[in-house]
Amino acid sequence: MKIKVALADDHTIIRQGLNAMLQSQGDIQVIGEASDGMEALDLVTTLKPDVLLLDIMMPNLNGIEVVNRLKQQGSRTNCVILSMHANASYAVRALHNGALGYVIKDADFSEILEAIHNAHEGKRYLSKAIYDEVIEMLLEKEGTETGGFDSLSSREKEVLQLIAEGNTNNAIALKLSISVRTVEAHRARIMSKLHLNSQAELVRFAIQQGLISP
Amino acid sequence: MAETNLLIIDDNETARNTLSALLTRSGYHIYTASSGNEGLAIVDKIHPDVILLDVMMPEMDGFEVCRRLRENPTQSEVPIIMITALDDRESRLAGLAAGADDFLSKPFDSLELEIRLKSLQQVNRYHHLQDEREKLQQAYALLQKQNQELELISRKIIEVQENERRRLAMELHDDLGQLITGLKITLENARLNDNDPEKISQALVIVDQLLKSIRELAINLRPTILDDLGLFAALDWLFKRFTQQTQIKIIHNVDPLMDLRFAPIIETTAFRIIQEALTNAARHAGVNEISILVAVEPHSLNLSIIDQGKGFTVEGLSPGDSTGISAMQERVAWAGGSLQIVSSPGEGTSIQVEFPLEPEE
Repeated sequence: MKIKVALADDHTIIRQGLNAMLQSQGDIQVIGEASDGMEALDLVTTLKPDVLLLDIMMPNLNGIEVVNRLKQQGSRTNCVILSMHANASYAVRALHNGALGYVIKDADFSEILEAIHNAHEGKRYLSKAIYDEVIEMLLEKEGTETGGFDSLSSREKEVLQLIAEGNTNNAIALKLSISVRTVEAHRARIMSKLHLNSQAELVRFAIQQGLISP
Repeated sequence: MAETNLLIIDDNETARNTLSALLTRSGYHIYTASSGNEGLAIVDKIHPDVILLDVMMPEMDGFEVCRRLRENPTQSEVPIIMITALDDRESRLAGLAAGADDFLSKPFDSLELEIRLKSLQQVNRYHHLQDEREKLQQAYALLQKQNQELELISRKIIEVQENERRRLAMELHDDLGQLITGLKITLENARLNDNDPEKISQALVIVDQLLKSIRELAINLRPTILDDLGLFAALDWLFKRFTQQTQIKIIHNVDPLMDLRFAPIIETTAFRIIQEALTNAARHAGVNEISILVAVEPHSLNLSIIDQGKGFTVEGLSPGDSTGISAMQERVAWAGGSLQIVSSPGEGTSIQVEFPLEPEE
């Protein structure tokens, strides 16, 4: 049984090129092509291919959104994103939305084949060029939950306490006899180390650590 | 012209009646009050065009009424004629001090009264015109100043645009043009040599370079990651690239996987402001570390860009200055936000930007 593959890309020349190269493989059969996101959805619903190979940048509906909708509909077609972005944020977003593979367009053709074979067996594939970057990004994300109070220096802990108590940067600078800019830099380092995104989160963190009472 | 409203404040009924009789014939609309308090209450309601005010009244005398009228910001301009005894020099001086414009003596002479009213209105009109002229002159000066600023900014915009076009043209011509020429020659060579696989491999290498150049060119114009994935992923990309190019470390709290979107104008402006601030810091601050905070508060998106570098004097930077601070300020204002810069020589620079956020639908 050949692997049934559908292609979605808004550039005809890319579809033609991929089609020709995939058909030349003995075990792959290209059963349909779509030139935008909505067409891709219809195509998958009617033809039920094993693997959908699709671009991110497409008119009407982008590739990540297509994958997301297919997964929500319970489609059993596995998706491989073929993107020109060698960027971990794109890859992680695609995986989050249900894609099994992420291959960048200027990768070796063998990568595309491997991604299709993997997807057919329900396995993941990431382009070599972004593999490390993706893992680092996910590890950093992992660190978000664990990176805590102990990662702060004693000066940073002091500044955190003063911020949480409601002191302004100017007041903290005066109390610690340092420049305002240094206080601001400490604050940035604290928010960065603790992955906090607002003043409210900072105060909440300080309460959790028992630095101030609620 | 609308009828002139005239208010007579006099405790003496005969005096009120006489004055009314003298004036109704001249086309005034007459209001009367028999005491200072009543008079002040009527003034608040009808805003008279002129007031005839008796000096000698029980409870509140005419001077006090006059003073109170002048203190009231909405009524301080109303012309006031005080009714005094003939040749009462002291009353007249006190009246002038209290803010009276003219005086009228008993017994009333209808001709004198009319002439005094007319001349008073002319004086009043003259004052009014002078005021207007002053206001106009101020407005004109302000407009001129703003015009000059606008002119400077638009000149700057044209200059920036032209430089950008020059850069693009050069890159298209020098970089991409050369690569494509090379590609053409290589392919031509391959064709003349029976599709020599080695030549075709060379062509593929050139194509890869071409792709890289085009991508770089496009991303410099507008990073699509900002449209596709939003501000956080785009900033993460920008920071990594900036550190790669400048070796300057960025301390930040941006989570590239944060799936939060803002209005396109806010995303674009926030991105460009941070990009510009980073470029400025790299050029002028002389630091190896820059801190950037992106805080999502309940009703606002706040950015802080902080360096502990050389700093500069914020005052004295004019519109269209080379660091483009006023352009940054304009840009943030267009997106509905505000931008503040604190800096002084040796004290580093702190840029704070706040964009108000619409409540979620």
